Amino acid sequence: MILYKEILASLGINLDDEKSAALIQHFEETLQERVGTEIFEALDDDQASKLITLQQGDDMKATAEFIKQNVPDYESIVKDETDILLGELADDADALAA
Amino acid sequence: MTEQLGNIPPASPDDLQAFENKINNLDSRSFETEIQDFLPAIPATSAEVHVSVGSSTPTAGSTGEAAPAHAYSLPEEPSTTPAAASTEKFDWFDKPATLSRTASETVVTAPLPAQSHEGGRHRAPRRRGVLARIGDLGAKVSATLQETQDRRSARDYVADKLEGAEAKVRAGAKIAKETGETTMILASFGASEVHESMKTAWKNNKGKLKTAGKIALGVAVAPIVLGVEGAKLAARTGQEASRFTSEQITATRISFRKRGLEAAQRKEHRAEERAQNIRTERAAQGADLRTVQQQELQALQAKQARKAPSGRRAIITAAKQEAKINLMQAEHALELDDFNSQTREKVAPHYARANHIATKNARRQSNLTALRMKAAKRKAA
Repeated sequence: MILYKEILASLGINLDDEKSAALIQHFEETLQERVGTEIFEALDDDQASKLITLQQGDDMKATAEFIKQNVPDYESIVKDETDILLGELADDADALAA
Repeated sequence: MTEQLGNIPPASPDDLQAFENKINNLDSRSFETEIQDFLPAIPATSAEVHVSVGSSTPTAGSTGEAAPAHAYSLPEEPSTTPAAASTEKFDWFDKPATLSRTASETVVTAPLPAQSHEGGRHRAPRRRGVLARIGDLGAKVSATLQETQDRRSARDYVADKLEGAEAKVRAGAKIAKETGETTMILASFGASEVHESMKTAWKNNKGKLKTAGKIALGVAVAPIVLGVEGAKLAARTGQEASRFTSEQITATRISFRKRGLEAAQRKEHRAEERAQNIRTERAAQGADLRTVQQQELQALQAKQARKAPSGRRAIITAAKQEAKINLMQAEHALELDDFNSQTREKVAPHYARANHIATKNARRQSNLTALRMKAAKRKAA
């Protein structure tokens, strides 16, 4: 889990358990999609094709290794996408808390 | 391959690159702002195309059916448009749209695709959604400009052409994003050749993207650090959720926003680097192609050289050609001389007669002058 209820609270987003769980799930799905998009952006067609093959084979370990090997700045991508999304969360905090 | 629309000049590569970067960082809140920023960059035609975008703020808690209406105004053509105001209703992508005519302008009001909402909150549009909306808007702008130039009715254009234009713009935007090409959006209006690669199609599969993102998140250190920070935050404060002071909340929000902006800049920088790398690679491929073409040309020249006479044979051939030319020139000179000689013989009698006539005329003129002088002297005496 990346986002915690405490982080939401620190932003002034105080929701009940059900709503905060839904928001956290939405946050993480959005983050996954954005990171996935950036990963694909960083690959050329051949590499993307290879990644697709690995994903279709459900080999998580090989896929992870492939990303490590072929997307040298994947950690930066993950960190930046996380920070961007948290920034958006901070921007939306008032609306979400209401 | 792209084509320009009439007198619309292409945007500069820097402008397009900047806009592409903006697209990469669009979210639901900033979308309309970005579009508003972008629209003025489209140069007005001589007919002063006017495009206005209405409010699209979604209603919280809506079911996703809400479709904000955007109005696009076209300058009216006086010669073909009735002065009286009128309103027509028509279907556009199976949704009701309105064409309003007044004495001064025509306004097409049509719905945008419905946006999804979840749990009473507006879900930030996915990248695909953003592209679709840009494509949608871009197509309308394109349609507006095209309409103005073609002097056809907005009604006909929207009904007949817009769907295809939208698809082209959308595909053009995708391709531009994928390849880092700077010939984006504007140049993609009216693109005649578009395609979607497997990679592009894959990028539209949210489930697969999420899987790739989830795996990347799993292997990255960053989210773990964030999680630790969250745990530390909770431990440090030891507070109930509702007990954060407004000052603490404000400080946290500011901190998160700042980090978000910095991250967005880094992301933009990465996108620029990727685009530059692709351009460099393509330039290198172009250089390779030129090298191959040069080699082929050299090979062809060598082949032709082998076929051509060489050495002693070439010298003999050249000497023969020179001798032949000299002979032709000599023959020509003789013929010319002979011609001149014959001509002189033929012309001589005519010259003699002409000289005789000229002499006779001169003598007559002289006698006439002498007679006139005598007459003048007598008259004076």
